[in-house]
Amino acid sequence: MLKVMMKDLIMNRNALVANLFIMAAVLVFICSWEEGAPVGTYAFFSGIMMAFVPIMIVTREDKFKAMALGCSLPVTRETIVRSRYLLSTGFAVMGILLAFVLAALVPSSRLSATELFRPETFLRALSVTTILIALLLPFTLRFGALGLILVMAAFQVLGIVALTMVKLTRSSADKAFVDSIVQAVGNLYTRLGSVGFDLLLAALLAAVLLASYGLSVWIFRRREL
Amino acid sequence: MTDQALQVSGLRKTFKGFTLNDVSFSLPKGYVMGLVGPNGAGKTTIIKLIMNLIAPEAGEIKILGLDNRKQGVEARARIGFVYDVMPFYADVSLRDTKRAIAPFYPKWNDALFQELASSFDLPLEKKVKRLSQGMRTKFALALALSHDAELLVLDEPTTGLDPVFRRELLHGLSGLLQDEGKSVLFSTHITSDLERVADYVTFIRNGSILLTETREVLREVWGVVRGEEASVAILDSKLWRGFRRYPHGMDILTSDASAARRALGDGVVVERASFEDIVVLLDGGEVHHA
Repeated sequence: MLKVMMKDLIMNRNALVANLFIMAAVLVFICSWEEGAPVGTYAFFSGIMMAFVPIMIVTREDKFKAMALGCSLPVTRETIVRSRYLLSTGFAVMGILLAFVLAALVPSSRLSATELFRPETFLRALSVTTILIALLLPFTLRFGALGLILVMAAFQVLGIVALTMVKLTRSSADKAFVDSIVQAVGNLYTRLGSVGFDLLLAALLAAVLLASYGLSVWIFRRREL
Repeated sequence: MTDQALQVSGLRKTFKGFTLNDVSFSLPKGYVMGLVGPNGAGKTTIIKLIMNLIAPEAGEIKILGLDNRKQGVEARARIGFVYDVMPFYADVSLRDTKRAIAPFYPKWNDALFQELASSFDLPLEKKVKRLSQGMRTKFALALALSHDAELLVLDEPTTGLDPVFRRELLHGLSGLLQDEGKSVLFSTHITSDLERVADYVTFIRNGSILLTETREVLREVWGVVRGEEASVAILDSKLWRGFRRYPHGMDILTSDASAARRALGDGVVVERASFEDIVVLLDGGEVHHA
């Protein structure tokens, strides 16, 4: 498995470095925001960005049609998928920590290290990354870059449909439904900080990632190249 | 211990508008097999099935005695592969590509790779996208030959190569076999490549194997009957394997040149069939019975 991870790192080294620089610039902008971005917002954006690092590895592989190369090497497809998930988790943890270090060190940052380096802030970012990876990796492993576009487009359509429903029907039930989702997510995050809830969330994220991994293995074993 | 490098039996795979139907052939260790057929015949599909890039609906493939699906990792460790379009990362250098691939092979020989890279004039610092198609094939060959592969699977390896290197490559493949007892399966539509190196020829058309035979049999036993249609078409149709009509005559491919000579007498020309004759005539008419 280490060989597959090393292959991915070597083949994507330049793209990874370039992307990390771009991400760092965006993160510096967010943490230096004059209006003062709350630490939760910063964690949220860090989480989103780090999720796209492993996705980029798969979309680049798709761009160069290099999946056939990987799958012709003496390694099982399950190992390829497992290494992608491990690499993704590694990137997520390291990337989020680096994003926090960046915000703590940049002189123009409005965020303090004490705010950033809390388990709940880290979990907030990690939950965003994990859910995005769990959702996007099976699609990108099956459809490549198209899978990424499909998921994004589905989200856009879902958002447009929800807003249109609320506007057209003027139904308080629709609005209440959307509000309740937003409130539920908000409530979840307000509970962060208690050890029990943090552990429960961490376990839940691990379970989501595991389920996504199982689905990806099932998909990738059947993919024809 | 099997004496077969590759055994393909009862292979079936269906795509929209194309079916690979009951494909069976085998390649003994230490020999070269040319897989020949027109574009879209199913050559690349067979190679993808061997490499486990696609799954068959029926049939079995054994590589050096190993089931290519159940023991795929062990089997692929012993295969060197070159595809018609090598799926390398275009923006990565040859050196880095080699660094990424080499650790997968327990028998990787870096000194041999450097030697091959040097003899192929490969610019290892250059990115793949800066190379011509021929240079990419050379790079793929250097990778395929550097891990002591026992079976080389080459999909159109001579496409895009200049004539000089093409000939060098074919000589190299023959030499490799004589020295080290390796086996090679290569697909091509260039019949002169077959003449140079193939010990076995497998001809495929529309997803079905029309012929799999040794070079000796094809050279010694097969023949082409040439002449006016009225004088050659009287040959017993059981002896026909393919034919083509021309404005002033007809060529009939037969798998028994002696029988054809005996049947037609001295008035009709029965020539030894070249590989090109066999490919062209098998592809031309509709008579393909074994």
